[in-house]
Amino acid sequence: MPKRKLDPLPSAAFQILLSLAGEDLHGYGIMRQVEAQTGGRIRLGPGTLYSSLQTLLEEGLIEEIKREIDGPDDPVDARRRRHYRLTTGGRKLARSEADRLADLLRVARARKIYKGEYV
Amino acid sequence: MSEKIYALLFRLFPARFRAAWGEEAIDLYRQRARDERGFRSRMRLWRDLLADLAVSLPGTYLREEPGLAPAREIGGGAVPSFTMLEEKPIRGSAYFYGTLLTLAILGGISVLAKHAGHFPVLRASNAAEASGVTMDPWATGHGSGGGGGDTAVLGKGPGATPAAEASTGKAATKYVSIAEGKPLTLFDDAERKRVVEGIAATLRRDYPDHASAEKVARTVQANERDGGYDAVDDPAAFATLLTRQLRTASGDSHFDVVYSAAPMHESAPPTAAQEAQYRAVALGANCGFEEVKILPGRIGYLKLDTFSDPRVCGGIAIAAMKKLSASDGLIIDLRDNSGGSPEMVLFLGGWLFDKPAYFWNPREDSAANMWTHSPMAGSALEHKPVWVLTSGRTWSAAEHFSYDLKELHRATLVGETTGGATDVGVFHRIDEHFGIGMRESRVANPYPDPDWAGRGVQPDVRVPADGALAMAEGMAQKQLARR
Repeated sequence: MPKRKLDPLPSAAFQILLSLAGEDLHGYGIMRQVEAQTGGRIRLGPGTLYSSLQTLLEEGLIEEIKREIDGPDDPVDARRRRHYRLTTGGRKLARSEADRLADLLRVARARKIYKGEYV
Repeated sequence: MSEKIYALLFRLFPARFRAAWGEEAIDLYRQRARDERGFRSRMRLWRDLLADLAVSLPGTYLREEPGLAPAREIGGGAVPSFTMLEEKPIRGSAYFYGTLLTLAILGGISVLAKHAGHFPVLRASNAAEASGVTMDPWATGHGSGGGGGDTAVLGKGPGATPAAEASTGKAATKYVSIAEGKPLTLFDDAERKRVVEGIAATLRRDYPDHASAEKVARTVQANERDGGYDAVDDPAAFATLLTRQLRTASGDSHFDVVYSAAPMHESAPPTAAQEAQYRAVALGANCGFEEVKILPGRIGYLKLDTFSDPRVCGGIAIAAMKKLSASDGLIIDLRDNSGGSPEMVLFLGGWLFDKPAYFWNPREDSAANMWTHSPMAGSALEHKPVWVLTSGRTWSAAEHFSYDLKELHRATLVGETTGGATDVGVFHRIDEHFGIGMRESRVANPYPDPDWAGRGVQPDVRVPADGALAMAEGMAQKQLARR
């Protein structure tokens, strides 16, 4: 029985899955997207980013895609940059994680912890 | 430059991780560095990178479990198959860096160890008292004069008189230490009687001269019966009075009745831990060798503040004496020397003679153990003039050293009469607060002057202790100039 590395799903891995939900991105793009979607709260460093990517790749939640040209501004760098895409499994996992959080949120609301300006 | 630093830091990650992601990670750094300019942004970038390193490093190593190579099936399905660990061989450079790191750590430890031994702030006496170890091996049983006998010990107690500080002896298998406990609250007739009876019994049992023991015991017992001590309310004064009476009645100045306000207990012989502590304290204080130098006019000067156990301090002693051998004359400053090991007395004394010299020691049982081992290899001091500086603080083993050099006409003593320590016998505990020290050795003193016990050693040239060095230096210069 192989050990499940992503159970529970670390927040960095979840953020990466979310960042890839809209478009395929390379490492630096993921980092910037995560920064944007968390309001600057999370800036993934290289160690965290690439070890998370490695795990997600191994678990088949994301896949690598080859792109010859990223954009007209820096074609040299772009050629060797790897891009990542969310797989169906990855999308499913992200959705179930979001559901779990939503459940949690409901509980928090019911317990009157989550309300007003105190959040 | 900063990219190189990050590339170096990235080398901390496991090799497999570096191979897979190294290039991308550096690329990511490069892009962030390009986008985030200005001092604050740069600071934030580096804070991110370092925090990321700290957080992600352990994880990447934990994930580094070796991959499992697919099992190869042999024969049919009934044969059990094994999964092999797929592991890369260790790189040659890893051995190199490992060796380098080990050497660096070992080097660091040895440097630290060396320095720790030479911090001069550790004053012997203070450190010793703080740690409960006394620097006086007579009091710890380190240097029992080579006789092999056990040592009775009276440790140093707060408020004890100098005479009471280090009364020691040997032959009795008994150690006495001062510990926390209730002070003497009731000093009455019953306690005085108990002390006198205890002293009389000890004398009759252990004093080598039986006739004298009987006479002295009867004297103090009669005094007690006749109410001679009833008026003595102060226990310390009582001890002093008894000491004087014992000495007068016997003519032996080695008697010493001791009162200790803190209770004395029988205690175990020094443990290995205590011996280790003694060693650390002694070496920390450079074994009492406060100053070893050659003064103008090639006059050697040794300021020695304690006679340490040569088993611990032999190396330091030899180095000092070899250095001093380059001089034409030697001043040994014992003005602040509180005593210590009789073995060190013999060892240092040995350097001043070309054949064995007899260093009489009232507490030593065997005459054979009183000879120096002269000539000492490496000594060039055998025929050079010696001056010994003394003061009222020169005590115990330091008096032993001064006394014998004087009686052997080997040194000129300059300064004051020495302290007159009576810690030259065996100490017997009578009760929690009283004890008696007395000489039990039968070896007779061959020298005309009585030893220092209770009277001190008289200097040849009497000057106040403060002026002793200047006086001795003047004498040395004059004498050496005549040659």
